[in-house]
Amino acid sequence: MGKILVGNHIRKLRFNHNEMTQQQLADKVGVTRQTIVALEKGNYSPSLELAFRIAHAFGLPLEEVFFYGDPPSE
Amino acid sequence: MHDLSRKKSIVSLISAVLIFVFYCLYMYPQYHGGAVESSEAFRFWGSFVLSLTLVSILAHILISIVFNIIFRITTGEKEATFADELDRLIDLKAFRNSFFVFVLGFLLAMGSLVIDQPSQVMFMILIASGFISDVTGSFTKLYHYRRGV
Repeated sequence: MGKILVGNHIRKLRFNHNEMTQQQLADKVGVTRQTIVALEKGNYSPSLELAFRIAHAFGLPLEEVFFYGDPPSE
Repeated sequence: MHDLSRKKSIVSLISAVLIFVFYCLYMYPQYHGGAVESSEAFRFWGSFVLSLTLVSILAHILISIVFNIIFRITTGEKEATFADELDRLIDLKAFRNSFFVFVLGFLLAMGSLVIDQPSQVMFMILIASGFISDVTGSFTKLYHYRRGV
């Protein structure tokens, strides 16, 4: 299995958004909690549509939620 | 962490093995050896496959219902009423692998006829490939739910 190159800041963003639970985010974007778990663990790269829905749920542009390759230094 | 799909895959894997083993043990006394090339033998294998399919479907449904009830009681979590993109992707991969194994078994079964093996061998390979393809599907799901896609 190839290494997943699309990373994300979902866990951190959930924490910054009133400690939103995985289930709450899953309900907001219309997936199961398991998919959010897989995304946070880096086990799954979402479809473009789901990536946009997640970014929209946090009210952020896509590139502030997802990144390609190594995580950007902060 | 509760992980319904992963647990469902494990239950499906175990139940597939148990159903197949117990069904074979139940049917074995009715098997009259490999030398029979009569309509009786074909009837036996025909009924074997049809009954196995029926028993397998019913048992899977029953086990799934019991599992969902137990899961709900013990964890208080409800099963998702929909399959999202991750579930669909994993289902597709499981179906692909399962189909590949069955087709391989089917070709082997046809090959056994080409090299003049008795028809019983062909049926046994077909049934075994059906079972292995079922197990492969469940195993693929389990693997992808654990390791990602």
